[in-house]
Amino acid sequence: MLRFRLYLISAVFALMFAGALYRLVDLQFNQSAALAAYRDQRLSHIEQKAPRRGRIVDVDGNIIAEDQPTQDLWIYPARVERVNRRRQVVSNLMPLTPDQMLAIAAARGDDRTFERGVAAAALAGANPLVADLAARLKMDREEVANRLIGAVIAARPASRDDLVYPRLAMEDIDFALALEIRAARANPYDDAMWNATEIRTGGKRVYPAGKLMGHITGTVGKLTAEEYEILRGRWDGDAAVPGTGVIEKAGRVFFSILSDNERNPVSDEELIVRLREIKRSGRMLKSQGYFANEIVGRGGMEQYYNQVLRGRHRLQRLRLTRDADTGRRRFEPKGDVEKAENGADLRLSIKLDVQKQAYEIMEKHIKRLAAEPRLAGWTPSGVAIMMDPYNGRIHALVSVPSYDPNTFNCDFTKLAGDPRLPLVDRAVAGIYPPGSVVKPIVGLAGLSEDVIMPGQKFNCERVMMLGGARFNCLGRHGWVDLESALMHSCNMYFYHTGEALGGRRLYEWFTRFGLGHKTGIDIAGEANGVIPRNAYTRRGWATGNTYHLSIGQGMATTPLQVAVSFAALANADARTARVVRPHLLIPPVDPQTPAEEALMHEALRLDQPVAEIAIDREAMATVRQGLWETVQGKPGTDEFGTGLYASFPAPGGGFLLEVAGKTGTAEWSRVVGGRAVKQTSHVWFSCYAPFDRPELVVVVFLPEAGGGGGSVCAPIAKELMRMWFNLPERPLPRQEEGTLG
Amino acid sequence: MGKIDLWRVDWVFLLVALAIIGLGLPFLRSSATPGDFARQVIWLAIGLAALAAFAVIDFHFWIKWAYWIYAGTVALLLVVLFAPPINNAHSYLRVGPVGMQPAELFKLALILALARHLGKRENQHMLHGLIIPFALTLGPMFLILLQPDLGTALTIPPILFAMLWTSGARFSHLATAVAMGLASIFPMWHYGMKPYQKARINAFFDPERYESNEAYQLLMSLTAIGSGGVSGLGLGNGVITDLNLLPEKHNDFIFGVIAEEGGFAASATLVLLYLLFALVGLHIAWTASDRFGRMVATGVAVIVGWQAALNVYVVTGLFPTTGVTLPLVSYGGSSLVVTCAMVGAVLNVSQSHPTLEKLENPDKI
Repeated sequence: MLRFRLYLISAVFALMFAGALYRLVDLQFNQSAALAAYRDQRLSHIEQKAPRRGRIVDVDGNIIAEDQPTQDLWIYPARVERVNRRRQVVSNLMPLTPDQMLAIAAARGDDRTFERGVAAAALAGANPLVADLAARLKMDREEVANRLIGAVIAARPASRDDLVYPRLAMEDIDFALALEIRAARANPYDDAMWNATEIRTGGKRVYPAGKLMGHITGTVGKLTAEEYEILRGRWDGDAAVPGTGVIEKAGRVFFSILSDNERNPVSDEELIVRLREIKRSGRMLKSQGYFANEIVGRGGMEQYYNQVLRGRHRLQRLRLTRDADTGRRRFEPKGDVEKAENGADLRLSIKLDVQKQAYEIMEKHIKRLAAEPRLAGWTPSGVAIMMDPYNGRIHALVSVPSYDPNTFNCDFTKLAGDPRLPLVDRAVAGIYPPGSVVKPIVGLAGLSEDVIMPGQKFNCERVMMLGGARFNCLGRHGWVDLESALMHSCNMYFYHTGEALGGRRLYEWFTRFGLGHKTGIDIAGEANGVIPRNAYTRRGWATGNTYHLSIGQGMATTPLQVAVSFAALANADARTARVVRPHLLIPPVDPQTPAEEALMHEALRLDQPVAEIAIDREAMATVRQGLWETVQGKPGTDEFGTGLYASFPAPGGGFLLEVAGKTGTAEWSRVVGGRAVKQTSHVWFSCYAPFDRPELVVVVFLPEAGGGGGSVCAPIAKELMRMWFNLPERPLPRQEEGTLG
Repeated sequence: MGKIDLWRVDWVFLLVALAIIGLGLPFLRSSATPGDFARQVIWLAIGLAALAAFAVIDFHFWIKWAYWIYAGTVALLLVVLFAPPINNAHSYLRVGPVGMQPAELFKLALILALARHLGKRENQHMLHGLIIPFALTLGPMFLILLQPDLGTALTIPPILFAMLWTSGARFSHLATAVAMGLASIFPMWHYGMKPYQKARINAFFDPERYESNEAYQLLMSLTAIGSGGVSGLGLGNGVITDLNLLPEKHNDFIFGVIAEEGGFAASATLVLLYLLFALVGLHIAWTASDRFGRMVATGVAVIVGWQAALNVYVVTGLFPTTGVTLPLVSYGGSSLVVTCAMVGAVLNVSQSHPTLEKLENPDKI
């Protein structure tokens, strides 16, 4: 009986230990290799380091944007230790007890227990590192703790393991302080505390040209958590599809990412293979190899060419080892998974001093105008564009007011709330009715489509009635031909021409000349513009709509589009005019790396026109003559055109520089209380020079400045041309009363 | 101090116990800090002294004083609840530099008290005969649960059941009690368990979800065991051990270290040694001179065997993580000294001369 009972207990034990042995056989024989592999994967870590971001330089190599080395403070979250009075390490800041974590989770109602727990512990604990850092940085203790925690949370640790990796806590700290911390780290007696920190050299973007180039360069900022999730979503396949939809959903434009995606498609298989290797790093962005918190371009060329500028991050494999001497864990480099490649430099067609002078000329005139009593309450702003008419290279691109990209991130709230809208690049992203500057295209269309005859005249009675509506002209011009109509900017002539062409053909000709759609300039955030077609208005299309369209009203374009249309007028040869693609990128001086060679090809591609327009030689000659007369006046007479103030008469007769230009004064209304209230006009002057051998297109545009394009914008354009062609300053030939429309 | 008959001492039992200690010690050295290891060596010396003392002193002496020892230990269990907590548990009593865990001492005290009660009374086949043994066990067990120390509490019931079983309790009674105990898990889950205990059990059933926190230890332990392979990475060469990635590696999870550095060779040897310990212990119970000795041998064999099995099950992921030490191997003074004392007591039982009654009917309960 007893024997049986003891045997039973023995049998139970035998069974239990047999189970344990079976488990050991399974783990140590069958699963041994897999578990060893898992261990190795878990102990290695891929660390990424951003390379030097590419510089942006002007034609002559002057720096417009570059990275400056900074001293950054990194922390190892798992090593931020709490030390008691006897300087014994009591506990790590980071690994909390399960109880603490769950309590915090319950209180917060989320599952990000770990990070929150970290935050709570750090704030609660009297951490000597935090105290010392606060003293050295002359900052509040809590602020320092928050920064450290912020660094940890921003990096989104996936597990406790991740906390052994260093995190960027503070950027660009004082150099002397950085040296001090480096020294403290080297001091073995301070080791327990300073072991948690590290000083690494980072980069800070600086823009020596400041606000001169603000709109062109844009600025840089960190990839936000939201964007990171979007990019991850593309990879994870959470309802996200590659393409613009995802991007637009967040209200942000990742033009650079998309464009690169189109150019260098990476197969999903390839992506998977690459990512699987580095999946454990946790902070790797799972799309396009972007990393959380990495610096990306925000606006302008920084955004457009982000992929080129960012280069390729270094991915270094690290393996956790234990230092034989100190007994501390540390990461030992085990070779690179991917070598670093610095970002390629962008060389721009802009000459920094030309841009500077253009900016100053614009600022000067805008300041002068703002002081005029008639412009009380004006939002001082203006655009100047100087462009090569043959290849679309931009020589100067000014939009006043601008912003300083150096301080963009600190000043953002102020800038965003500024009623002058300094963040809007009016040259590229502002859309306005072009007014009379489209008249040359209407005239050219009329002649080319044979709806008007060469030399045809229309009578201008100043007012024309259509139905019950009045359509006005600036003055009673009498019988005028096309040249005179352009010269005096006579609306009647173009009402008749436009009516004969019809809305559809007007739309086609405008569109053909690059108006109403993106020009494709290599600056992020370009606007489309609007040109109405038949079904545009609620009550259907009326002849009045055609009338408006034929004098550039009831449509909207960017100043850049106007520059493109004038470039086409300027570069037309006997058969074709070319629609250029405005751009700033030009080939690097000495391309060496593959990235630079790609940039060279890209720049050369940008020099090619995007479209060609077949034109009638005679018609083009007539229109050009009209544009010439607009500035220089009727040859052999005293009759002058609206663009008189842009002319360069030579002392002994003739002209120092012959300019073909067109003024524009675009009326517009704002709906106030259900009624359209007329506002101060937008004024334009667009021209090219020299007349027979064009090498420069100039567009000057002042929104809501009123007073007429000829009297407000033409003198500014003249000053810009004088600067570009290096002409002497001379008084105007005649001083005339009144305004020039 | 009684006379000890060296010819009758079960040397196999002693050798098995010493082999377990000897096998564990090098791995403790590679996993614990030098200070902790030195402390453990001192504890081992004390433990061996206790082993010798218990082997030499007639175990009937302890049986005689069993209730007093039991009462003292229960008093300590009460006192410890008011001691300052260490790691959120009131399990340590600290007097100057020396700390001890009354719960460990209680295991021995319970064995002695049960041996005394069960050895004297022979009514365990009746239902009312179970009342006192259950009361003796469950009352202090509740105190241990209050500390809270679920792991140690879980090691207690098998002592009771095994000793009742060998003293003649009915299978149906014991099976009912076991069933009731298992049924009490559900109210325990809802009212008695701490969140971290629940999380551990959740993690046991779904380790991937709790990979970062609750199941981290288990994952590291499995990785250590698996990557040890057949022959192990060699003493002091364990990667996970060396990098300190396995929490409690010198304590509850030392089996992971043994399996990583010593491989299957060491881990399987250790498992077999524990089995041998239990079997030889139960054999001593069979040959014991009287009911008291049988009870003591059964209790010791079962507590050590059960604790070892439970620990190995936890470390290899066959059972949810509970804090159970690996007897004679894990770091910890109280556990080592008490277990050594138990071994000594069983050695004493093994050499005591059988009574006439025992000689006449060896299979009588």
